Amino acid sequence: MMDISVRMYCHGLGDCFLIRLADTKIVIDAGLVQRAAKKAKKLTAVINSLAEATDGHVDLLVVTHEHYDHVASWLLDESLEAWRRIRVDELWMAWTEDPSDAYAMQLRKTRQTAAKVVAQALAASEESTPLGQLAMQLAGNPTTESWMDQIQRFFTEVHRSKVRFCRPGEVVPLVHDQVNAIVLGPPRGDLLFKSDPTRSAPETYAMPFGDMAGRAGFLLGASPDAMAASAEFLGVDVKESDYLGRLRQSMGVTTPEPPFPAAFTVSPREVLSPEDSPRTAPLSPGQLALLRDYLTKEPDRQISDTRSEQAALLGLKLDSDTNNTSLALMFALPNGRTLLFPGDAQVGSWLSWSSQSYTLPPRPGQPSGESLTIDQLLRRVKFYKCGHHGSHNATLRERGLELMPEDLVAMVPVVHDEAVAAGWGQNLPLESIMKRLDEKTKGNYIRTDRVQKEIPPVFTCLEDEAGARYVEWIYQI
Amino acid sequence: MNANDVPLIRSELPPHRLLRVFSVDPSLAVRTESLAVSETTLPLPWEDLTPGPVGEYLEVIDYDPTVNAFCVPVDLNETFPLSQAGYHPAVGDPRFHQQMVYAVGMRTIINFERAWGRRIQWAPDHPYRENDFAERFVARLRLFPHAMRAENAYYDPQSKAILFGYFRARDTKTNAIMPNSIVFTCLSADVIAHEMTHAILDGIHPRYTEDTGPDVLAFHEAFADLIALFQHFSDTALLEAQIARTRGDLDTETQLAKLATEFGQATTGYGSLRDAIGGPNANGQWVRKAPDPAQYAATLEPHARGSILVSAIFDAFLAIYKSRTRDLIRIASDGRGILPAGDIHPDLVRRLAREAGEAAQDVLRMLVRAVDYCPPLDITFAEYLRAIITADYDYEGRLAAAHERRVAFASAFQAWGIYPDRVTSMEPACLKWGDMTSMRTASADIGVRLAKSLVPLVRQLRTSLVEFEDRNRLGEALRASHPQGPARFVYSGRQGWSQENDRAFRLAEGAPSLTDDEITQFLDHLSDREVEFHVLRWFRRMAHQEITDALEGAHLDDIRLTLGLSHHEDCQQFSFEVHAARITRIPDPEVPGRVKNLLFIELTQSERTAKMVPGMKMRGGCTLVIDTHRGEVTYAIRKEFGSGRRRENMEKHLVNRRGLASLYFDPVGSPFAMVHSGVA
Repeated sequence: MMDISVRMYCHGLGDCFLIRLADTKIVIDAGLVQRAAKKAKKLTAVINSLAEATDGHVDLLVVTHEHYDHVASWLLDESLEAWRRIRVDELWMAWTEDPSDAYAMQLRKTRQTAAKVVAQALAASEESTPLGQLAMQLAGNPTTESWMDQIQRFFTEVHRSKVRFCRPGEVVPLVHDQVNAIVLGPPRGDLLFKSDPTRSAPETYAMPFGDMAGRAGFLLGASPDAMAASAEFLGVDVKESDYLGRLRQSMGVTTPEPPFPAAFTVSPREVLSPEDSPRTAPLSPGQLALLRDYLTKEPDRQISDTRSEQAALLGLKLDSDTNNTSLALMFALPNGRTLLFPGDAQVGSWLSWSSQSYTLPPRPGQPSGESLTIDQLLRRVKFYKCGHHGSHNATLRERGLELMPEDLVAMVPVVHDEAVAAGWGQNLPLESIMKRLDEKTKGNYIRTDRVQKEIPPVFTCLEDEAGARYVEWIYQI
Repeated sequence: MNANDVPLIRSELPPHRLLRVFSVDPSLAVRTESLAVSETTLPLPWEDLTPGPVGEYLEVIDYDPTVNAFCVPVDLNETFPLSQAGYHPAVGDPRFHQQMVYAVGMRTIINFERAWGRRIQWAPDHPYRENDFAERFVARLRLFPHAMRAENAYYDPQSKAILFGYFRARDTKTNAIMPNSIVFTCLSADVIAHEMTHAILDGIHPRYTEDTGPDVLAFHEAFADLIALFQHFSDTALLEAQIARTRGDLDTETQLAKLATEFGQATTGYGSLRDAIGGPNANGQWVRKAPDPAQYAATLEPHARGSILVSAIFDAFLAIYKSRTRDLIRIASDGRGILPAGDIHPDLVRRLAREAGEAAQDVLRMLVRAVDYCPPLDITFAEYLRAIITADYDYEGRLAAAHERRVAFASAFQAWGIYPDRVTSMEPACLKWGDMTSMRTASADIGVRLAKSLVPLVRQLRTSLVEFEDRNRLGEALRASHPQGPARFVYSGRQGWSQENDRAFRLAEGAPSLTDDEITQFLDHLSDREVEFHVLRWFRRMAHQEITDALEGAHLDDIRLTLGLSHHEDCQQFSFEVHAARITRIPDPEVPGRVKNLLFIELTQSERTAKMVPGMKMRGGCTLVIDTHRGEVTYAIRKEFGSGRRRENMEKHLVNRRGLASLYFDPVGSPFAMVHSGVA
């Protein structure tokens, strides 16, 4: 007999889960999207509620990946203060955050450089536009210490928590060896950078982060030296006024060099008033006429500079690659069923789960444990935390949802309106995934933004004294 | 007297302007083994070029917005380029870049015009104002060789321009290309041909840029890839080198089946961006792709889905090539059919290359001709197959070789799991669109009514087109200003835009104030293509009235089942558009000496309702193929307006449509910009 419950907080667009496996308490993520109003207040209410529900003690805290909507509660002073009241025994993160892992640290460094250079390429955009927002988001953490390092430091210093960096294929016994935590991802290698579902287009296998810095630098027209020099500047605080303006200046370049020698190029000024700007080789009347007509006639057919959009595409890619660094976990229960918490892992991570098998520790009296494939594990899923707020690329179909059994229960941490407001588009969550979830679970799934409307009977929705609302699913085996 | 002042008589014009281009892209010119075939010289029809180059169809404007500067426009009439078949291929010389986009662009246009037997038109410019349905003639497509810093190139339907990007090669660790070198997409013959094809197809089917089903954008991509692929075969030196290297076996890895080699090397580290018949396996070894019918159902991303159509058609081509060369292989192997090891004889290389070249031309023609036989919107791959087969019957008749090609197509599509609805078998005769005369009585009756009212109009159209080609006759017609005559056409086609048009207006009204000189000046100003554009616009307007009258009294269900058109719920009136009209003259394959005049008219209508998924617009309609000699509507290729299944499929598609980036920056402008960027 074991009592199991999964609680999803409904504080907005962001993840925070509390899982109880008998007397073991596990928290996965605690964040909220950057644009949300009253972030600190909402998150503090959630942390206070966690403290209340766990009597100030959590056995295991899992921080899946370095995105604000998963880690915000440790970045805001008020909610961080609330965390001091919760003793955390163990902190789990993905191997990508392990300071002793050279590959991980190299990845992190190149990612940070890329993010900063892309942010600079975007800095010409106004702060209020989606591009400006993306720039701010990418420039992200102003200090040299990453968010994940800050979290590690907080828990080791304040609560003396033990830190574990999980690697794919690992199986860790929990709850007096009755439950096994299985690490599915993030993968090591190429699939880490695959974020979108395509069968045959190798171009969506992105380059390592470091090359992205070079590509963004090319958009800026910045030399590697200029990029290095301005990286110093990026230490300043994002909250400082006119951050973007200063970011712009720091690069010291506004227009890239033309790709051809000067003798081949003509500026619009030289075209419009050739007499004021004599050339060594003057243009012929025919050449001048063509260029002048282009500049003065048919404005609808002129073309404009798209460097910001190009930078934004790089930024988006960078951002979604970070999702793939999500620590994806599965809990194998004593009755053989599993609970799946993939973080925001995207296609590449899901695909990588089949590259290893998972060996459970032997049961008492047996010489060896069961060795399982990911397909077998997915066929046993009882509970699914829908990946990346139900986006198009974070729930695999054939090798994912379709394998899960018909008595599935699912939770989707998403608030559609906030996703739209944050500039994440109309398709969060993707309707077709929600529809399939509805069919698969026979209605036993819940979205954060629907808790006030319809609550399937397997869930209970409550609001506690701290003012935090949550949905809970209880499962007895 | 200056030599330039001597008037040339027409026969003295050179038949060609020779221009050098990279046969594929710069990647072949940096390897010793491919250096010999890295460059080719294209013989293009002679036309007066002004700096740019600017010709009748294309204008190259080398403006780079990222640096806010132009590159000096090349003047191909200068002595040096004229004497040397243009500038020599050079990555560092923008004049060569301008020359190459012009030259490969024109080659693509010529291939289309030859297959269709008519001039191409760019999609007209719409002012996009309410209640203003004016369409402006677009004389020239604009080509911007250095338009952006991106791993991308795309056709922009709004500004009627092709934007080529340039970018820094990624460090892919494969050493396929120097890391950080600059790659220019405008130097890839494949990229140019691909984007040109998008532009030409948009001129025929503007609704194919609407993402109404999983096959639509995929078709655009596939069609563009196919034209680029089959153009490889017109380069004899490259073709012979590849035939020699593969010993005539085109089923192996070959440059001919690869697209955008340098682009692929610079972005993925592999040998090309796309390969029609194979690709690297997990170990990086090239393997031949086997037909997989399951892929078509499972693949939705436009390029990946498009590549299924490309593979199917390339497989059909290979089957045709093998059938044409089996005898040669047997002759060369003493009847065994298996060539001995080692290099094959140069004569055999040339013969095989000629067969491959001709087979590729045949396939290219089939693909291009089929475009006229497609529905006006929401195309599927299977409909394209039916269009290919039907067009081929119309153009080639029952010729045995043609029949063999049709069978090759049908069986390749079958192998890839692409089947049409509602056909009894994959036998070519069954795949042909249903002949209207053999349809159910009510439909046949509608066909007869339409034919009766449209055919006289077409005769008038033909007369006016022929007359207009002779400028003197046009002038007479204008001066006479007959109210029903050609002058009327000019008037109705050109409602007040500019000074010239005012003059046209006055001409049409028979305004006496114009001098003969003014009239001549005006006429000289109009190109053949522009005259044709206005005449066809006049024709569409007249046809709309004729069709409305002809359908008067017909049963609404019959109209829906025949033409795909439906009436709106609240009124009994049909509201539809004569979306396009094209006319082609071809020799009748069945009756020697007789010419077939084929008229293609597209009728469409649209509806947007609140019940639908955001951004969804339901359209319906048909393409009518009219044989004016027989005075019959031969085919009505329809997409039913009210069809519940179409609506359901479309909703499903719009909801499933992925692409976070396109949602981030909606509206992003060109539908192709996102499809083409590797990130989307």
